[in-house]
Amino acid sequence: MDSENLVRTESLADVISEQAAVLLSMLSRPVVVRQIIIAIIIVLFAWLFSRQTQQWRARRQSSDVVEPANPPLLMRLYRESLREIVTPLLALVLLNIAIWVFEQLSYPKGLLEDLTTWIIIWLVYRIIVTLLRVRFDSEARPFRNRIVTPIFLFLLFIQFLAIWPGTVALAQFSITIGTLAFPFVNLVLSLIVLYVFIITAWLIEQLMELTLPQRLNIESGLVESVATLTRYSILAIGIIVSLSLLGLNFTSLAIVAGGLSVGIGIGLQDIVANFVSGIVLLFEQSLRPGDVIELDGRISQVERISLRATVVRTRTNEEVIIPNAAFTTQQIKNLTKSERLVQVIVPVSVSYHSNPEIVRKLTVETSLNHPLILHTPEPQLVFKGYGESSLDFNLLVSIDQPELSVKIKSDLYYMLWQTFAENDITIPFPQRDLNLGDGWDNLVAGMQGSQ
Amino acid sequence: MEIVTNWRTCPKKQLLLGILLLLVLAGCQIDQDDQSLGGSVILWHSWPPEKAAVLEEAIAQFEEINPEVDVIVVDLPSEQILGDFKRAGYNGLGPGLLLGRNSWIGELADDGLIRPIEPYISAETLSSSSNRSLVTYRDQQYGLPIFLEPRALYYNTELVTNPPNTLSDLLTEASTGNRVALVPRFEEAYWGIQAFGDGLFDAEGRFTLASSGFEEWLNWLSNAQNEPGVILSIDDPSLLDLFINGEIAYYVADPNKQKQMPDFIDEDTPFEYGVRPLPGGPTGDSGPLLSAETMMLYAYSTENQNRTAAALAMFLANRQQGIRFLRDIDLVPANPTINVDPRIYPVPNGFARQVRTAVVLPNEIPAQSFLAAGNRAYTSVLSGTASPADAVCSFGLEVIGIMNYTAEDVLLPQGCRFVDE
Repeated sequence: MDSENLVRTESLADVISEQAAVLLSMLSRPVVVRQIIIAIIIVLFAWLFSRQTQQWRARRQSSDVVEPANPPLLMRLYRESLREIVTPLLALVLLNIAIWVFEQLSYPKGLLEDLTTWIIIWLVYRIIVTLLRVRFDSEARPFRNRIVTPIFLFLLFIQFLAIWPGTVALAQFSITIGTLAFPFVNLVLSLIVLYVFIITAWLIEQLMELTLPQRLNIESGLVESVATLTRYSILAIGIIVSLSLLGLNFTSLAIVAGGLSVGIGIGLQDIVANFVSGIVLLFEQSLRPGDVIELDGRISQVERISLRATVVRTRTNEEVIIPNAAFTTQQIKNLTKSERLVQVIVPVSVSYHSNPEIVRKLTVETSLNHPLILHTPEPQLVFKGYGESSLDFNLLVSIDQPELSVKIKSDLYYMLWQTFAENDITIPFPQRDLNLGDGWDNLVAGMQGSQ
Repeated sequence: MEIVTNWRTCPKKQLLLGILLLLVLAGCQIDQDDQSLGGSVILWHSWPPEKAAVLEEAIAQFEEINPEVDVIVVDLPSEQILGDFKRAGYNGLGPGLLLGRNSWIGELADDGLIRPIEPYISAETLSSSSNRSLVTYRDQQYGLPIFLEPRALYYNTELVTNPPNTLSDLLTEASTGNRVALVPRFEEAYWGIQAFGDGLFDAEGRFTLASSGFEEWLNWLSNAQNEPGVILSIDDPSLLDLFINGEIAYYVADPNKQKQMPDFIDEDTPFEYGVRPLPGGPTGDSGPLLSAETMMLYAYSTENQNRTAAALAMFLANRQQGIRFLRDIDLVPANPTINVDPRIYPVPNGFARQVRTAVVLPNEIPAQSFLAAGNRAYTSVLSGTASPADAVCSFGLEVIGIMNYTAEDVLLPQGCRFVDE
C-alpha cells in the first residue's frame, strides 16, 4: 500500500470541519437526498404501523377475556416478537420494494442497499434480545447491555464507516497530545481491544462463580475472591495491550509514572492505601464474600470486595461501604474465617427452688427444638454459680449461620420462658432484705401515735 | 393511559428533527445558477506520498486563487481505489474528481459513474490526438489526462555507453554481457508487436491481427529466451533488484519505477541510469501501450460541484502545473505544449520520446479480458505448448468472442479460420 505511511497532522477541529464539509457536500446532491428521504419515510412508516398494531391489540385484549398471568413460552415469544420485530421486518420489505422501484427508474440506490444491511443487523439484534427476554427475563439484561447491544452498535458503526466518504480521512487522522500522536485507527482499535478484555474478564468471572462451587465443591466466598482476582488480572493485561496498540512507549510511561508517584504519595495516599489493601485482602484471603465479621461491635456480612472498598450488609439490612484499609489496619473479628460454626451464649437464671438437673434437661430439649440450632455439638447448660437470688447458668448452643445469632438468641428466650412456665420453674427477680435496726420500732410507734 | 410525548424530551423525534434540519441546511447549498466557483470538491487519488505532496502543493495554489473553494484530498491504496469509488459511486457519495487510470473509463462509464467532460471542459483542451484517444469512449471524452506513462528502456549508464536502437542490436548487447530483462506478459511486452508489423489495431480501431506483427514478435521472444544474456521473467521486483544491483544493463519498465531507483548506492558501486525509447524492429519503431493518469468527473455531482471539479482538473493539467510535476516528480505531462528538454530532464525525455510511437488501446475494448487473452498467447509460446502462429490464432478468436466482431471487422492470419455461429 503506497499511502499507508501517510498520517495527517491536522487538528481535531480541522478534521471535524472537513467531515462536516464532506457531509454537506454529499447532502447537496439530489441522488443522496432522494435516498435518505425515502429511507426516513420507510422507517417512520414501519415504526408507526408497528405502534398502531400494538395499540389495536392492546384495545382488543382489554375488551376480551382475561389472559393467564404466566402464559406459555410460545405465546410469550409470539407476543414479544410482534412487538419487537414488526418494525425492522416491515422496513426491510418496504426497503426492498423501494430498491426495486429505484432500479426500474435507473436511480442510484446504493445507500438504500446499504441501509438494508443496517436493517438486517437491527432485525437480528431484536430477535436475539427477544429470545433472551422470553427465555431468561430480567436475568439476561446484563448480558444484553454488556455484550449484545455493544456488538450491535459496533456493527452499525463499521457499516457506517464503510459507507461514509470521509472514513479514509478519519483513518489517516492522528490525535496529538504533547509530543505523542495517537492515530485515530489505533485509538479505535485499542478501545475495541479494551472492551473485549473487559467483557472477557466479566464473562470468566460470571462463569467461575456459576460453575466452580458445584464442580470443585469449594466455598462460594473463595470462588468469588479468585474470580475477582482473575477479572482484575485480565483487565490489567487488557490495559497493557490496548496501551501498546496506541503506540505508547512503556519506558516513557514508567518515567511519567515515577514523576507522578510523588503526587500520588501526597494527594492520593488514601486511595492507594485502600487499593493496596484490596489486593492484600484478595490475595491473603483473610476476608471473603459471605464472611460474617464483627467490626466496631457491629456484626455484618461481607457482600463483595472490590479493589478500593468492601461492601458489607448489616443485620438491619443496611449496606455499608468500608475502605479496604480499615481491614488491614484494624482488628476485625471474622466469625466465619475457617468455619461457619459459632457458639451462642444464652444466660439463664432460675430460682433456688428449681432442680438444676431438670432445668438442664428442659433447656437442652428446648434448644434442640429450634431448627437452626445444631445437634452436634450438642447444646450444653453450664452451671455458672449461685447468684444473689438465682441459680445462674449459661446455655451454649452451636449454629452455622452467625448472621442470625441475634434472632436465634431471641427465639430461645421466648421458647425457654414458655417451657419454664409449663414446668413451674420460676425465673427469679432480685430480692433484698432490709435491716433497719431500731428504726423499725420507732417507725411503728410513730405511726400508732399519729392514729 | 394517555402518553404525552414532548419534542424536547423524545430522542427519536429529536433525531428526526436533526436529520430534517440537516437536509434543509444542505438544500440551501444546492446550486445557485451563477458561474462562480465555490463549495467543497472531494478528490480521490492513490498516489504515493512523494507524488501526493506535489499534488497538495498544486491544490493549495488552486485554493489560494479560489478562496471560496475547499478541496478535500483523500488518498486511498492503489489496489482499493477503484472498488471504493464504485461502491461510493452507486450510493451517490462518490468524489467530485477521481484521479485514476484511463483504462477505467470504459467500465466506469458503462456503470454510469463518470460523466463526459463536456460542457464543463472543452474537448479542444485535449489538444493531442493521443490524449483524445486515451479518454474517448463511445465518441465522448470522459477525462483529462495529466501524465503519460509509456514503458521505455531503462539502461545502466555505468555499463552502457551507446544503448541499442533495434532489437537485433539489443540481442547483440545481451550476447556481449550487457544483460537484458523484460517481463513477458501482454501489457508489459506489447511494445514489440508494432516493431514487426502494423500493430493490432489500425487508425480506425479495426482489429488487424493478420498484419499486426504479433506472430513475429512472439517468435522473436521465443528465440530470445534461449539467449544467455536475455532474462524473461514475470517476477518484476526481482528484475528491478538485478537492475539496481548492476547485474543487468537493460530493463523495460514504466515511469513509476523511477521512485524505486536509488539515487546513489555507495562509492564502490555507483548507480546511474538513463531512459530511451524501446528498440525498433524490421518494420518500424516499438509501440508500447500508452496509459495515462487521468482526471474523471463523478456522474452524480451537482452542477456547482462539477464546475468546480472541472476547474480544478483544468488547473492541474495546465502548463505551469505540468512543469511542476515534471520538475518535482519526473513524470511526463500530458499537456503537449510542455517541452521536455533532454538537457534539463534527460530521464523524462526518454519517456516523452517513447510517447510519440506508443499505442493507445481503444477504451471500448474490455481491458481485463483482452489482456488475459494476450497473456495466454505469451505463456503458451514461451512455455513451448504452442507455436507463435497457433497462439496468435487462438488469441484472435478469443478477441473476436470478447468484442463480438463479425468476419468483416477482422483480418485473421492465414490458416486461422473465423467460425461465425
